[in-house]
Amino acid sequence: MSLNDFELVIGIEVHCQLKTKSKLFCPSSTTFGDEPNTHISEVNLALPGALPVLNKEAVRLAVLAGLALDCDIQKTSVFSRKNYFYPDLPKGYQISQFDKPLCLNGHLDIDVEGVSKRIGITRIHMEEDAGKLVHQGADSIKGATHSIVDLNRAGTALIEIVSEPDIRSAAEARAYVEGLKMIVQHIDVCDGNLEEGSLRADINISVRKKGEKAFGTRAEIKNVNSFRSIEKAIDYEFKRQTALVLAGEAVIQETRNYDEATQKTTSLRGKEEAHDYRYFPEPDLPPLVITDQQLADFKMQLPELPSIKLKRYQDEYQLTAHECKVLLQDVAMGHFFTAVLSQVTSAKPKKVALWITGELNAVVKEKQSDFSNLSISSQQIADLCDAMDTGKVSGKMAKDVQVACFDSKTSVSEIIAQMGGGQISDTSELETVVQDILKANMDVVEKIKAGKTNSANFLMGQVMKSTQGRAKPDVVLQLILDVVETL
Amino acid sequence: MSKAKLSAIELAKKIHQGETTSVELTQQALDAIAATDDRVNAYISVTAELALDKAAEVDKRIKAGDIRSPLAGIPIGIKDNLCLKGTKTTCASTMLKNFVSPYTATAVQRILDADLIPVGKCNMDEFAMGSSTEHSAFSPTKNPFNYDYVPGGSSGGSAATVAARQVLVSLGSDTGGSIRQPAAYCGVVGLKPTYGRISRYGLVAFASSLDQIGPFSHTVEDSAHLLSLMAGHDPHDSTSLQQAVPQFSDALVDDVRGLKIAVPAELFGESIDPEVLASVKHALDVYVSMGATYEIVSMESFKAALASYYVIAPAEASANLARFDGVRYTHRTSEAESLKEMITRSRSEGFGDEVKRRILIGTFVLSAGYYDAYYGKALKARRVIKNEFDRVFHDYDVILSPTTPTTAFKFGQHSDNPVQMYLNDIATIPANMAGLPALSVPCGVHNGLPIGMQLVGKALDEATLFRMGYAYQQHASIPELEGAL
Amino acid sequence: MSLSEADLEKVASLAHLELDSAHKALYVSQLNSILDQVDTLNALDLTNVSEMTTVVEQDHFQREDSAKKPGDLLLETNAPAWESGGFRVPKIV
Repeated sequence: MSLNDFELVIGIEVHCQLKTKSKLFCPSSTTFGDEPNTHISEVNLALPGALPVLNKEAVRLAVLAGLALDCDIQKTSVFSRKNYFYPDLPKGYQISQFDKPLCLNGHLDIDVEGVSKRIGITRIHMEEDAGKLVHQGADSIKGATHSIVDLNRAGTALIEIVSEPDIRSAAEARAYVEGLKMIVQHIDVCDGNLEEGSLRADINISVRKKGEKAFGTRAEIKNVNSFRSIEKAIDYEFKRQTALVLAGEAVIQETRNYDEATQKTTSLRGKEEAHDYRYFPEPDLPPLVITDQQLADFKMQLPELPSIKLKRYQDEYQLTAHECKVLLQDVAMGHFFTAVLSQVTSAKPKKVALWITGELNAVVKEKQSDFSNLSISSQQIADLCDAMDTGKVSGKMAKDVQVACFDSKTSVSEIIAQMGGGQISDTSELETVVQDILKANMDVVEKIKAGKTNSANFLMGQVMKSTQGRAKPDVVLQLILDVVETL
Repeated sequence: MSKAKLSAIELAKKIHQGETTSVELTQQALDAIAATDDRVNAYISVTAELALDKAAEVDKRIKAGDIRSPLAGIPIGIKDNLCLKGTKTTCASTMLKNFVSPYTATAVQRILDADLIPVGKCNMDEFAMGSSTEHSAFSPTKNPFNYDYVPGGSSGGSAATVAARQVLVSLGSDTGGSIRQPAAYCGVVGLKPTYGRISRYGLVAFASSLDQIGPFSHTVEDSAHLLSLMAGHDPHDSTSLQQAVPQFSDALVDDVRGLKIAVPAELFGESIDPEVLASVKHALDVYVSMGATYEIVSMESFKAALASYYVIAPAEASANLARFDGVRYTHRTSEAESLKEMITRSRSEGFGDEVKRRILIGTFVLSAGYYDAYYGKALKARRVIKNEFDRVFHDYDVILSPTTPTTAFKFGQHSDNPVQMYLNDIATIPANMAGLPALSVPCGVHNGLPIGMQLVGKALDEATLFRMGYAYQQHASIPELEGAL
Repeated sequence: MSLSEADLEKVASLAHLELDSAHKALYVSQLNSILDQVDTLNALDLTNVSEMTTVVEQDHFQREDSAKKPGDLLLETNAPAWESGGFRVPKIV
């Protein structure tokens, strides 16, 4: 018996921070990066007498997420208290949803190496985030001498998306989380950043012999902060758990911590007893009711989903798989692309896509910037694409024009003029130049006449030099061949 | 002392007409507290400077014709589980003995905006858990009519300060009877409004689905005015009612003709002391003479109310008190090596026995495997109790009973037996379970101690309670109690 | 249903309360007498009765999503141990 006789069974719980301006149950700001304990209120601080009041925008975003993932939005859902003691949980309980969550029975379709698969989503519920503990005296919680509690994050609105245990490989797990990320970013519900923590994944893994129906004991893996970590953690766990089973030992149901440095998981449970959360309905909040009218309004507000966009890009614009992937994964780039398309007059979408995902993207990366705060406008790119389409500039010239567009409000046509004019494609303009060059290089002309058409390249180079690279190459080439005939 | 002298509204009129000033009355209140509180111990802290400063401000406004409410200028006591910005809010607990609140409870803010003058924070059972104020970390409050007896609880201090005439009005809170029972024991009027009438924002939570803030006074009139000042939707409290608030003083009409009274059989027999029963029977006669009628009805679900309450209230409390963990603003133990030790020791040092008992029960009934047997069952019993009230209110306008089975008991009488202590609440608990308004009005005395009767109304129908209470006070004559003072 | 001392210890640990041996026995008996009262619940007919989890039946009030700056929350005044702008707690493991 070996690894090959076993299969992975994976379920993933993803927490997404909702893009609200204020927290779930109080009007504290959700901006982060500021001094600790400056974005809190008596509610987050859990002062005596403080009470939660629900943020309506958080409800809207949570419902949009549920709709985007094809869930049944529950007319009535109930908030519950999840009770446990921890310093980053000021009330000593988290307000979450337990037996009556907001959304049920959704799914996400993923694609792994051309194979499509549907991953079930059991439920989505709303809950509040905990604060942060900064451990002092060591790099992590183990060995720390003490910790400092910062409650800035406490109370931020979250949704928890729980998948069915339908995932069977590290690649599928990655595709699932990538797919969720893409959707929540596209519908503008969450920033979807694993590294920054606006998107967090906990992986539940168990193993079983292939063909078996029963589930093995599962372990929960926390602290996977990148797509690579998701894959590495799963690889490690697969080996660890199958080794145990092959040795006749039991897999313990526990929470394990993934360590980026060692790429291993370690047990987080000491001699702690298992948590007894003692869930009960939150008496400070009435049940959340979504009316038919509200649901209809929310459905109308749902932006175009990535899967629909993908189809449109492929069918209508004939974009390549790569171009689609790049445009969908970078939501801001996708928005920019849409804006440019609405502003071009002649350039085709396929050419626009090629330019944005290629040349423009390269420059943006070089400047260490991103599409959400570009110092070049979509109008400028639209004009540039049109200029290339009409032959006003060559591809090479366009690169230079683009550089000049950054941080400048000058229009593309003005920049072209400033550069000494665009591409010259007028044969009458070029003929004189070609005539002169050819007459000055009669030996090359003879070579061409003798059949060495490649020698035309040398002459082409000369023409280009003489016109500061502005002559349109194909026009020049034809002119050279024509004039050669006459000489 | 004449009725007029005990009416805050009448006294306020004197300020507004220039016969006296708020500063004078506030100083009198502070003097009375200074003179008698070493014995009564109604206050944990007296906010003298705050009070006199505000009184001076209010006097200026009144002189300029800016009278913000019918009670503007009147001194008032505030139970110490109500947050008042800049003052210590201790809940009579070691856990919060140094806690200074950075914000004010909505109900208290509305009182302040109406230009009443808070003179101090009143003593109570720790975290509102108790029926005698013996469970205060700052020593008990005494019944002003006999120092060997308890004033009731948990709002013992708020009831005693009004009974002892240190002030004429005060605020308390009621979860299972904590306003009405001390009101009965101290011979004053105490109101628990409909659940959600008054915002709970800033009231330190004991049992979230049962807690309500309410006023103490000598007259039903004052009670109605105070409710008008505090009631109404608060966007800070999601359980606060969005319904409009009627002008409660409109209900102060001396006419109860045709009103139908139901008397629960379960609270009108052997579970009640004979003297208390006699007093309430007499009150019923008064009502009949005024044109109302009454019938004894059976309210079977009352038998389960006590048990249901003692599952639900501690369960919610165990969660509400989890925030007191030594981390952010409470007492913290001076010796702890690890986090769990720090939290456990701080809580064990900070909480008294009764609080610990209730947290333990609450934690137990919610714990794995026991939810259905206890908490789930209690929530069902709650619905049965509510349904029974609804059924009775189909045919009757108000439910009348003794507020408590006995008059005040002696200090230490129930120390060894918590269940005996809890039995004091059998008449008051059902109204909290159903979220209904209830008013306790003094209706007699026995052996120098007061007796109270309780009126329970339909949801949002405080008006009928005020009408019944007001009419009674115009016609009934209760012997004046000299009291220890 | 009755509570043993072992049950009490488990519950105390969950509730982060420490009980000395003198109190343990006392609490066990007191808690049991309180829990005995719960039998009266069984006298009621609870078949087909749903749990009453809300007292207030009205539309759920929701607030607008706008951020508000806090006033002075007296963080340092009330904090038992304040360090580097945060609440200091002893080591967790």
